[in-house]
Amino acid sequence: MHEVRLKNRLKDIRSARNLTQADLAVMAGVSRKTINTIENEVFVPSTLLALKLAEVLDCRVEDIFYLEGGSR
Amino acid sequence: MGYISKATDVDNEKRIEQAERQRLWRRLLLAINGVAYFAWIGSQGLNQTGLLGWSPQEWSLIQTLSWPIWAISLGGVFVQMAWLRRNRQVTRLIDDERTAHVTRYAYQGGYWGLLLAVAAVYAATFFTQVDARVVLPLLLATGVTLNSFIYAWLYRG
Repeated sequence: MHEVRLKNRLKDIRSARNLTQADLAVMAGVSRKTINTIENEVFVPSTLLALKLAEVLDCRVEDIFYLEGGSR
Repeated sequence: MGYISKATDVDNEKRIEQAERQRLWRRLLLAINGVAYFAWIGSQGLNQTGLLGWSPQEWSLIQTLSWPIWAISLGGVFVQMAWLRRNRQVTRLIDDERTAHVTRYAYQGGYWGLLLAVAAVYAATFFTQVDARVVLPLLLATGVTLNSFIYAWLYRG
């Protein structure tokens, strides 16, 4: 069984909306470092923060986060 | 895109700058607090060992100098906490879920560090006589300092 990894398109979605990490951090109420570490897939956000990010970016959670690898 | 407001760009940058300044202060205060605590309490144990060849007066001077530094840095931590309580917008940019994650790591690191230190002292009792006046201040200082250092290290960036 392969390892399942949580990947994200946060940077692409944020850039498409012309937002800086600072803008998104303030909008989601977290630190810039948190946004940075999520984008670099170092930090896995909670469901609450994932939903909050989707809300402020006006998209679905699945548009931002997806699973890679694993066997079904 | 109803939630996205471009008008807040300048405010956002300003808030983030404030948050990062506070974050730097927090790390600095914790690091100073940890070093000063180790110098104050830990030196009371090291004083008994004759390590480094320092005289009791020199150890006493270190203790005399380090405890006010510890007290001032602790005061700084409280002042910052009070400031952050009044500035909620900045606080949420500092104390988010990643901070909670870092705090958990710091406590776990401190726990394992202290456990290893106690195990090392226990192992030493098989080979030599261990003086409680030496090891207890060192264990106490290790337990406190390690948490501060791990937090300050993980909280960088």
